[in-house]
Amino acid sequence: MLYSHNLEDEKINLFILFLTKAIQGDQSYAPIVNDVILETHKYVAGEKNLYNIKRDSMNIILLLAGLEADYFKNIADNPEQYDNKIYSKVLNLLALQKSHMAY
Amino acid sequence: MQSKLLELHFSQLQFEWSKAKYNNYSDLRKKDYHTKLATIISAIEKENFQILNDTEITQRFHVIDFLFKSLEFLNNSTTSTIPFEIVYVLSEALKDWSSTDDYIIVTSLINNINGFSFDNSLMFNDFIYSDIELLYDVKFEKKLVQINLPLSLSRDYLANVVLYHELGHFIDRKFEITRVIYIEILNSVASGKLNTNEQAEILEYFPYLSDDKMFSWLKDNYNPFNLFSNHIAEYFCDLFASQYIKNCSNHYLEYITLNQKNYSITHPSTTNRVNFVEMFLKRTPSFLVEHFENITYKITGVNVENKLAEVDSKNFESLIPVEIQDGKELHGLFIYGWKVWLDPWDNIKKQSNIGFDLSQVKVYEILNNLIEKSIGNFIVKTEWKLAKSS
Repeated sequence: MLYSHNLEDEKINLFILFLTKAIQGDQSYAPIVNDVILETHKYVAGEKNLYNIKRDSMNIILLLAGLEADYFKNIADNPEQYDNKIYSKVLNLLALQKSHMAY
Repeated sequence: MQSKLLELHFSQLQFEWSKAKYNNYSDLRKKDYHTKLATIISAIEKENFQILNDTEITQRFHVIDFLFKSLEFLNNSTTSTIPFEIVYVLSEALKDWSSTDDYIIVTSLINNINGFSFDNSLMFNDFIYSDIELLYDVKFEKKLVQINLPLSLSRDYLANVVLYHELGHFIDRKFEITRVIYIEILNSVASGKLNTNEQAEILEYFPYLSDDKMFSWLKDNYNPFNLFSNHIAEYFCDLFASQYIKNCSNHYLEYITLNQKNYSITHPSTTNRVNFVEMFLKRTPSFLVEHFENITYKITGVNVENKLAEVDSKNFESLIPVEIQDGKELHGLFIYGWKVWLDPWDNIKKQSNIGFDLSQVKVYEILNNLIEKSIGNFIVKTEWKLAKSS
């Protein structure tokens, strides 16, 4: 095999790409990003659990929850309030995590 | 530099598409999927790669990868290449877990005699579908479930019982069942509330959890490819398959793994896998099996239980197909097929009044033809009823 193809990484890469697009002002990507951030908030706030959080982004939700639960707990539950400051924070968390990942 | 490499990547796809665009499919849903691929390729052809920034180039990289992966499976799922009958039966099983008809089972026939596997590259990454919709205004209502099987065994209905296990991998990833079992087992152990029998059972199936360092590492370092994740997924898929084909895949598994006594990083020992399925089938009280069943039900709303109807027949011994009554009997057909293969072949000779001995390869050919014909007849009958009622 020429290189290792990791689907988990690929998914995180695409999410990072969506965050980047949202930060650059492309609002069409904001709903996808907001959805994951809101779901993470609901999970750490106890409004949702392992059995009913959204399956398609579950790994990113659990990753974010594990990285900084308190931050997501205190975040607004209205996605309209999510802005570049929040996107940048999430982007930094994931970028830092990716640099430490060793599959 | 990056844009030139994107040009190379897209040229490779265009070359592949120059042949694949003529694919014919018997399934209208695949035709529709194929048309969407054509729309995306046509849109990318109109783009000027020279003016794309790094983010945009990365997006195209992922889209072209998606298109390639789709073609890899669609090319082996055309009217002339797809193992239609086995795919039909797996689709029937899929309906138990996904009633919305959102998925199309496609196959890739590979040149490896043990090459049974589930490829989760397309269904797993939902974000790529969102990106394609935003970039090219193309929405995929149906997604591909990609199953690899050996080219030389594509019409072997005895060996292909293991495809139920591969379908289990799709269900597992769709609902992220392994991930929850992973967390719940580690939490149960850490709670200190398990009784001696429950603890012993966990250590029998996951022996490395007795190592405190390993336990802590697994708790802090989840990834879907570590041995604990892999082992849970394999046990789940064995359990999933046994709902439809009981212990039939164990016959094949025990043989091809030489009844492996030790676990590897990717798979538990075969003896443990066989025992796990036997506990489920015989309803032996088991903390782990109940844990798997409960978690699966809580996530999916579907019970892990017998989903087949046994076929009570002597037709195969008389060399005639079985008239299948419903989807549950389709699954039972494989159990009947395996029974005929494992029973003395004199039964066939006596029942069919043939005056000569049958070689093993003849029995193999006959049995596979009879299973295929039984499924085929059921499909025709079902389609006919549907056509009459509409």
